[in-house]
Amino acid sequence: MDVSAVDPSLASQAWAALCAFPLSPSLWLLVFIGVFAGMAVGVLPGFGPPAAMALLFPLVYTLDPLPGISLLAGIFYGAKYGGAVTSILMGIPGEADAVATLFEGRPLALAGKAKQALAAATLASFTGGTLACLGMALLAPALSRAALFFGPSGRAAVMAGALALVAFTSPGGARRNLCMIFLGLALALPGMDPVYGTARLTFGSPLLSGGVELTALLLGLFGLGDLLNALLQPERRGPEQEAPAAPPLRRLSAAMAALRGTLLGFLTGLVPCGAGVTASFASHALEKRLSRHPEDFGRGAWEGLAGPEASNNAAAMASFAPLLLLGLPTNPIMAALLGALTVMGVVPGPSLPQEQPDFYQGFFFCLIIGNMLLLAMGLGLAGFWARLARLPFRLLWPVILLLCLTGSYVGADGLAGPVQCLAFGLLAVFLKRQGCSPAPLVLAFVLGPRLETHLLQTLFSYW
Amino acid sequence: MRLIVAFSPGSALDGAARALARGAEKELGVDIIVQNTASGAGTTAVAQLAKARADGSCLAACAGNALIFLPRRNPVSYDPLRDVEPLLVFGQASPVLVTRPDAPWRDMASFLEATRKSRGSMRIGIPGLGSPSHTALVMMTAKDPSLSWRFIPFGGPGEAETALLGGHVDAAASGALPRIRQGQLFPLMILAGTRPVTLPQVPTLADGGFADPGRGDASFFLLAPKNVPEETLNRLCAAFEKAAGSEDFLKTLEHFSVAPVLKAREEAKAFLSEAWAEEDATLKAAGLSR
Repeated sequence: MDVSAVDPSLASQAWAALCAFPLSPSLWLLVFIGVFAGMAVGVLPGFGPPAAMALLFPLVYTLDPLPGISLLAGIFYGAKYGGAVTSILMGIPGEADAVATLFEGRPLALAGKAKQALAAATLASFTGGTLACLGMALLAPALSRAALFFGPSGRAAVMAGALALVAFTSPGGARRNLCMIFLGLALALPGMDPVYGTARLTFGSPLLSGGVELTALLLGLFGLGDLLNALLQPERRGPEQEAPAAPPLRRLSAAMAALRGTLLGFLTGLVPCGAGVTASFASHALEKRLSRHPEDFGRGAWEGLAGPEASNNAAAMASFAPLLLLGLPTNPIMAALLGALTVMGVVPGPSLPQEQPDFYQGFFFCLIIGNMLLLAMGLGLAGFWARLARLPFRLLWPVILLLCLTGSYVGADGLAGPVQCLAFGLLAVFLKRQGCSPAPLVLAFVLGPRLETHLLQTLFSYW
Repeated sequence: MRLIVAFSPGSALDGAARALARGAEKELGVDIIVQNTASGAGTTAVAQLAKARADGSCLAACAGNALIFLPRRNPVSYDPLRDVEPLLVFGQASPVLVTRPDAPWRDMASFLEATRKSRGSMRIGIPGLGSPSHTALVMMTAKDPSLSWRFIPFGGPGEAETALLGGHVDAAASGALPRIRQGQLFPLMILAGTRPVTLPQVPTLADGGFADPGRGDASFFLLAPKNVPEETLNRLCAAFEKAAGSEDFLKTLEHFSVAPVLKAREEAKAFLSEAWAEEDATLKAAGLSR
């Protein structure tokens, strides 16, 4: 890219952006409502952002595009943050994005550092989100073109690369992790074929007709799995007593981890291939490789918490670029946003920044405002959340069990959810005894259908 | 209430269904949650609907191909004439075959010429296997054996367009009208027998001497599961019919270049069985039936 040609437009864009800074209190209030509602649904697994957004849609249609979309967007990243809270406190990731947060966040909470872990996650998330927004406001038109270069074969390659990266960096050794990846890919197979639309491997059972439900898999493998592990080992009264002391917080290296995570998340967010999940897993793997104390990873390394948190929030922000500049939704939530935009008369496309500069620049400022509100709320509530984590295990486990079962029921919209959740809970116990980490399985499961689709598209292209 | 939409967001079906849902929401006084289930060119969505609770809390919007063409090609878990109840036909798509504005071919004739020269190595992105535009193109190759393409299935027209803009396919079946207007996509041919008023200069299938693959496949159906109480159905039908007649809805159809073909419940039901019978003859003519 010719840098000298970009600079003047950067400066003028920055100036235009500053002029567009929204000051209206009602706008701030709507962003606050969005972020707060998102955080609330984020801490209730299963009841995800799509449901909350659907509830607010009728309100949104009565608003102007900017406040309306900012409200919906607030739900989206507020919920991502809420997912991190449950990951750290209870070990139940409500969304696949929050799994990488759990690796280090959960041990920290068990070691009694829940408040600090939440604060670190909040700060990292704020850094990732804000920097990604600024990057987007200035560079997105140029960068979103990059998304076009990734065709079916490119995307399949990125996903295969992400899986390989995780296989060779996750704890447990490459052989076990590869087994987990193939198990994850196999679990993604039952249900409807993503290309041909035919039912496969369902064995005629209604429990499998919709395939394996992601919420059930996450809640089963992590929340319920931990719980069963603790309950099946009566000599240890609860997970909190087996926790080793947390490694020391090295502020500088944690900050660097957050910055690296931001860059990684920003770039993956622009390419629609499972942005948040891929970015957070990759960031965790990267930090482990770069760390001078790799032995801390899995015991509560702060770098391994900050990196993924920054990257998944950066990816969430960056995934607005394909939506606004290409009209390409990269996940169901973006799809709902696209629908809302169309209704409100905003046509996403490369000419959006020129055609509706007020909306375009204002939107990024609303994202930044939302991130600031999230930072304030996150830091303010960290003490409150952390007190929840100090509840004795005998009070906490019924809550976790309840959240797992209801969450998976809501997620699968039927009894298939809790049944699958229980099955995955037992699988998690078995995997733990075998020394396998379920994390590569989750990544493979999430990427499986997309990898399959893009692989088939590639094969159709050449053969 | 839930409305399952059989195509991915940004497609004409999705736009029309969302506009319809918004109108009906006002009539019914409940929120309608729109859910996109794009896989299997729409059959997944219909299969989900056929299994849904028959209390009127779940409806589906699909293109006719999920009811007419696809069940003949693939084993599906529902019987399109028995397991679902058509409530409304709310539009008929006229997909446009598009290419990049900088592509070497400037009209349909030169595109077909290039296709013949390439001997089947040109790629067309389609919004799903067995989607109406796919059927139309396959029938072109059946009519003229010197034509052949590689069809790359995507999750919807938006994804196919993106692949086109990135240069991963040579053409995409069904381009969105706003992008054609903005000059990002160049229209080659309308893959239907009728031309939308907004693209007067683009040739249709009939102009090129090819058969129309059937208006049934390209029609948009609103479906309910079987055995929903009659009373509920009447209430829903009244609300959705009123929504389909509204100014806003018709504007949305025009925006997505969908022909405003509206058929109420009885008519829609008759139309489905008629199109089902028509399809047999068409497919046999094209050598596509199993």
